[in-house]
Amino acid sequence: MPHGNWHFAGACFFTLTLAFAATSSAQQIHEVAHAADVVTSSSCGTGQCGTGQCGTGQCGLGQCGGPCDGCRFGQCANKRNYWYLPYTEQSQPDLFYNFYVPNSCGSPAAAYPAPYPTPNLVGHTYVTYQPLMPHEWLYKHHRTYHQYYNGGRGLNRTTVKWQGTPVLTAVKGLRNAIRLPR
Amino acid sequence: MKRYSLLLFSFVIASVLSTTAWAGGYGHYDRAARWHNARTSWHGGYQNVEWGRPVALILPPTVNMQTEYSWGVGRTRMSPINHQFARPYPLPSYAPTRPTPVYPWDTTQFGIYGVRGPW
Repeated sequence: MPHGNWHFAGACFFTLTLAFAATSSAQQIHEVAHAADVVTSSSCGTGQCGTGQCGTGQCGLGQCGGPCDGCRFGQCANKRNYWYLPYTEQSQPDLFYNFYVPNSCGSPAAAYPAPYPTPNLVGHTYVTYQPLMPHEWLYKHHRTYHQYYNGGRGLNRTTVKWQGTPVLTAVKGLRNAIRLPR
Repeated sequence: MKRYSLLLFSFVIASVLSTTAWAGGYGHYDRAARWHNARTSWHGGYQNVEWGRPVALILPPTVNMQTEYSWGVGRTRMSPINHQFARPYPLPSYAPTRPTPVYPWDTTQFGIYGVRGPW
């Protein structure tokens, strides 16, 4: 199994370290729009669906839970299932996925393009490699992506680290440890 | 001397680790983010005059608090940044907002509201 390592120094003193297990030609790239996972009609396990309310399970245009807890177009708001979890759907994202902040008795907002979608004539910039999406460069962290292939018999794991240089990180850490809160 | 060296080394390691965050979202503020994402709106009652709608200022997900300024003594506030971008596609909706006053007296009236980026 081939292995490889790169060190990529970003303009913001970040280092992107990639360690990948294999390159899969069977990866399916879903070129979908931002609203790809919109489900306009679906069944609900309990409660009313469609334009009503449902407590758990899938829902259509209805609401889940409280009156301000908007239905997530397909899934009710199970609070933990849409944050990052390793070896879940969150660690094998589609190529052009997007992030949203719910409406919750207000207007929703999308992260890309910020702050609002532009007209078609303006054009669009697509980030075709998930670790290079701008929101990943906001803080130091690491993440493991994974993709199944060959019918689930193969697994690619890609661990990415967004981190600063060690000396700069140590200096900043010392400064943050002793500085007065302001 | 050896003890102090070990103490200093531990302090440096702890300082480095304290500045590193892991992708996750299971802390106190992340639980609060989930609660507020589901129940409260990310924007206030004002819109940005250039866009005609409230603008989400994407912040690092590791930040917790923000400072809001206003005219007058004792009007500066520190408030938690509760909302955070997440995966689910939201309901399309529209909430009426007011434009920035001609003479704004609070930084929230500029229609720019901080939202933490996704993990």
